[in-house]
Amino acid sequence: MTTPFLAPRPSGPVASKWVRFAARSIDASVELVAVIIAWYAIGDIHKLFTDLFLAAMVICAYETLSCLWLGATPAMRLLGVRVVELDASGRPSGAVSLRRGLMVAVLTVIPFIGWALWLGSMFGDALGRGFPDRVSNSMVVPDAFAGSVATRDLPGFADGARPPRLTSFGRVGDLDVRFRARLRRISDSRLLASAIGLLALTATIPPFATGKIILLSSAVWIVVFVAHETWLVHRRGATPGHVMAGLIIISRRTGGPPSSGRSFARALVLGLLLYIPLLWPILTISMLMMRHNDTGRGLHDIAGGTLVVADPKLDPETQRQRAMRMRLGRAG
Amino acid sequence: MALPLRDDERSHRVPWVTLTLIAINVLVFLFIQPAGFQGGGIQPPEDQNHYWQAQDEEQFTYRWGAVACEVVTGKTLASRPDGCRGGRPSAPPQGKSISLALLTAMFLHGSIDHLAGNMLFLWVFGSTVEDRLGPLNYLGLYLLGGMVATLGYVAMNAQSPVPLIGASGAIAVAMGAYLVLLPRGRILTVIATAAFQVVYVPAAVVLLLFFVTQFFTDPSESVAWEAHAAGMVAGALAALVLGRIPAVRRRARQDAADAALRAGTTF
Repeated sequence: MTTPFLAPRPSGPVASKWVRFAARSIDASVELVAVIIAWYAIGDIHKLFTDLFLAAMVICAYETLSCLWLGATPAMRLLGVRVVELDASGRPSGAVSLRRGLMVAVLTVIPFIGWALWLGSMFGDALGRGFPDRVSNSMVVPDAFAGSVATRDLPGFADGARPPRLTSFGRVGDLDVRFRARLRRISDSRLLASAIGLLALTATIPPFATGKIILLSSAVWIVVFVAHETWLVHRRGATPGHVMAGLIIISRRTGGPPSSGRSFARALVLGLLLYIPLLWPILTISMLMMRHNDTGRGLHDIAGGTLVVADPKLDPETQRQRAMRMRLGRAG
Repeated sequence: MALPLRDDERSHRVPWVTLTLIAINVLVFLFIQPAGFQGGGIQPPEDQNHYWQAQDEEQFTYRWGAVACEVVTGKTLASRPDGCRGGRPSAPPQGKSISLALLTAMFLHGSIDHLAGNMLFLWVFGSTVEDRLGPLNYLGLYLLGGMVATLGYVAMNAQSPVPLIGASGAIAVAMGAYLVLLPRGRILTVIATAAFQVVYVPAAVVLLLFFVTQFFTDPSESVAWEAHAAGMVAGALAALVLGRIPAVRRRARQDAADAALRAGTTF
């Protein structure tokens, strides 16, 4: 099998993630002062959620209005980056600014978890598009970039910012695409949806409607999942989610679909890691392996002796576009 | 056991009424209801203020909540009517409007969890029903249906002096209407009984499961399941009538055509 041709791409107008982090830190400090002033002005309320709500509204107003009027927050302007709406020119519209502001506000007022979500989503994305950018269909670019950004250009920019990993069987599937493919693979599988429906129905019968049924039915679910995953990977070399993302699961040795035994081993490791919360620390290690090693293989891939690569039947550009649609949540 | 996240129906307009209802519920909880509803407030329990917060909470709930035996007897608890069981508040509120309480109870919530859960269900089902029925029909359905749901609770607990609060009865009305108006819809749902898997489940399955499980509610839980069941029945019946309005039928045909186009069907 030959390596598909991938034309080199420019990195595109991607703002430095560390500059964005610095800008967010400055903005957050300003917002904190504004929130304290607002609390002081309103007086003692002694209502925890009301105070949090007021804080979120102040942050949302700061982010929304500055984005609308300046095209970025003051700190972003200071550090030479700005917000652009995808597929549009000029400053972001009111709707985009509001969605962005709301998302930033929600993530800011949830200590640690919200901050981790913002940082993780921003630093984890090749283009630095965190949750606020994705929710508002926008992107942060350097001030020096004068043009507009089209959604269809994002796959190329992403490849330019983070060069794709290649194996002798083709381009390695990226972690975020595989993660989203995994979600789609469940929600679009009628067999699994029916199994889950039956489990939910069982749980409504009074003698079983206790916390124990959650454990029992979750165990049943893992068995169903492993059986279904084994069948799909062995017979088709892909789940519905992988097909939508333009990816295929192959044996590392033969380049074809994995054997039934290997497929089972892969499905078992995956099922246990995904659905047993005690094993999530190991799942995190597996995901870090998928993100950073040369072949994008997690623990389940090692157990199954598999690789997840771009489907060689698709031309590279089609695969790239499918992967980006999956990243953007527009696959279907 | 199951938590809906969104449905797969395509909206044609911004659901202003649903958004406004959500805003009112949130603002009432945050700014009008006493601090005690927000999980014990900021003061520690031994603080004197904690006692007054609890007192405020009780007074507020009895004043603006719907009390079944008040509705049945037509007299407030303050006038000590016959036909009410024990467990009355030490100082019942004076000058309460029983009929107004049927409306105000729909906009009050006992805790942040109660509010969040109800608003999620309202957004998922209410926005789609509003899209199909139009804002005015939907608003009428929500408010009148919510009162019918409360009366359903009253009918089953005629002697109860316990105040009923929460939007869930009115939201159940929207859910019942959804079942009739969009029986083929799909709901993206978190299923706790399948390792918290997120899947699209037919709306009919989600809603019928919700309806059936109401009858198995643990009596020790403070859940007005009677209001939920009555609300769903009221919403379904009302939707059968509202679905005959020409504008609603036209919207249904338009939705069917859109769905067929998306599926690539010729028609």
